[in-house]
Amino acid sequence: MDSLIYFVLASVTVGGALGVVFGRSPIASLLFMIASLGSTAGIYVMLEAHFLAAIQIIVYAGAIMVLFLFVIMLLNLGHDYKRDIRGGLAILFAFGVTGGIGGLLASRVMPEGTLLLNSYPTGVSIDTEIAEKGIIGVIAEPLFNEYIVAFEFTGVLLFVAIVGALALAKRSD
Amino acid sequence: MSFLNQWNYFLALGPQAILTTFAIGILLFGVSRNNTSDEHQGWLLGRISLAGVIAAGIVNAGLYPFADRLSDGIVAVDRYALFSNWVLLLGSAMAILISISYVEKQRIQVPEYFALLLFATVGLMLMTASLDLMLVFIGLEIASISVYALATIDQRSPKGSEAGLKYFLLGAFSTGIFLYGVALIYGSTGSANLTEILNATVDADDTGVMLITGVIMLAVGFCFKVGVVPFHMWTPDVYQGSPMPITGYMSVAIKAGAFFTFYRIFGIYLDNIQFSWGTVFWWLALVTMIGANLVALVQNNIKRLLAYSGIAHSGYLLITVLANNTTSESGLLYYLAVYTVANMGLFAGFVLVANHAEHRVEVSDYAGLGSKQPFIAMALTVFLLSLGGFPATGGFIGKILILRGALEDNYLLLAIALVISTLISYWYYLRLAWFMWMKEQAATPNTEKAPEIEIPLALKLVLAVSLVLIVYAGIFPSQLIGFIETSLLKG
Repeated sequence: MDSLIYFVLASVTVGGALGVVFGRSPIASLLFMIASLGSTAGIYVMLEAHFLAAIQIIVYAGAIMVLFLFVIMLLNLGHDYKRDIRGGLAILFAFGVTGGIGGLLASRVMPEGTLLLNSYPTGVSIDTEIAEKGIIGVIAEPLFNEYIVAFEFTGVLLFVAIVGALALAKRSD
Repeated sequence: MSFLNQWNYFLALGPQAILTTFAIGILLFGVSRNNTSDEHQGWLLGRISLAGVIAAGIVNAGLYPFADRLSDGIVAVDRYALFSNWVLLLGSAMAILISISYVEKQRIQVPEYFALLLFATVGLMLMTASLDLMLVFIGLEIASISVYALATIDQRSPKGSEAGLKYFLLGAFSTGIFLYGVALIYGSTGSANLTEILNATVDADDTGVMLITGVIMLAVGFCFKVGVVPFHMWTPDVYQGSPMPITGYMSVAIKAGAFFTFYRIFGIYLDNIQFSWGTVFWWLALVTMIGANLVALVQNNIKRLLAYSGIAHSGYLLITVLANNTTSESGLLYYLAVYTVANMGLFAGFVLVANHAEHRVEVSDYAGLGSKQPFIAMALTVFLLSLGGFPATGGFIGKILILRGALEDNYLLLAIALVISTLISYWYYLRLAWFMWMKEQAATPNTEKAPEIEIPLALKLVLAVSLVLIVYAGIFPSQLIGFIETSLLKG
């Protein structure tokens, strides 16, 4: 049952991502993206990362997608446009290259049957931690202890992005 | 001392914190005074940001007693990081000095300009000091986003907008690849912390496809930032379209910051799995050295010429990451320090000849400079010789160290390629010098008369300091090499 749900969610995620690229109008692309992000949240739920799933829905599928929608409507982009990728040859080339790389990887993996190092991490340790601290504690504690510097500098990063965007959008004189 | 006490992070990231404070202060200053007609805003804010860089430098010097004692967190305070801070601070100080007259004349939004310049330096310094791939990513993004905006900050220049958009799109794409690589490494080793990655890869063999794919994607992200063939396509266009001081900053600081981090990650912490990336780097270095130098031969625009020359230097520096012994590591540090000084000096001269604008950027515009402006022409010639690696300039010692490092690890073919491509590069470096000294300006009546060049104090300072440093590093290298040898990661 679990794997059935997983495959449904996974195919919606990948299919949605393909829809974003191949969608004819920006609005359609956007809706595909929401579908893709929403089913990613479903995968998080299956991994018992409920907090992440909620954040994924609220932040990505909610706030950021609404922002995208506003921008598309403000710029009046909601109509069809000519595709950038012309001709089947370009599409064939793109898929050929990607498929080639994927095939190379698969051919390396198949004989040995392992993708990972000999001692790859398992989910056991995180399960005990979740039982101890709860799902939010597991995220919050590293965030504000071990990764406090990264957290603070993410603030600097966002600030720089705002300053840069304003500097470009401001009309001088 | 440890990072269990979180206040120690303020100590460890003192230079970065100071620069951030100054950048925010400059922005506040910019919004508090709403007089865009102020002619001398550039001079004032330039001085403030220069003061910020100097303050950060003082803190950096004060960190030496703590070096190697704060080592357990995700931030490294080792002498390597402090040395890279020196190079980055020097590069940004020179960029600020070059910019002062330029922003006034081009009427660029001064507060944002200087604030973004400082923020870019903060990002690069954070990146070189981080021991965690997540922090590397954040630093890289702070620097990249600042420079995307700086490339296109002159709104009246269509070429600038093109450059900025191109840089942004390709940069975002390469950042995505970089991040995917980090995710794959995290997935296969269970940590983004470099020390733990080092421990996890001790007995790695070539069956760890996920890890190897991640490492290669990480390398692709870095190669894009430093402009290694075949990820260099953006470089000439972006260099040509950006404001000239920003081109200079991009060509030295971004490259230096990326290479310092590159070496820390690949040379030290991914050394166990060199079998996975060694061959790739070998080919990249070879193709970059030969290809970039050949293409540079036919460039007539000096910014494009410097772009291809910068790509070629990335190729030389890749050898040091590959050879990976103490000689080549000192070569990397020495080369980046000298390259920063020479390239910034070169751009100072370009800004002067272009009269703080974007015209007169063809090689033929430099005809007759030697007789009209002997000081500028002499300085430019020395910088060009240093980039080419002539004896008695700093570039020569740097190249010798790289060569020795390559030979110690038996990369004979790469060493030969380095020598051959250096010989090729003499042609285009000396061609510019030849135009300056040997050619008279064409005296047809319809060519616009070259305006009288008057050298502002700030640019005089940059030219003189770079000249002294280059010659000093070329003739008395032992002091700098001695200092560098105490700053190595492989001590």
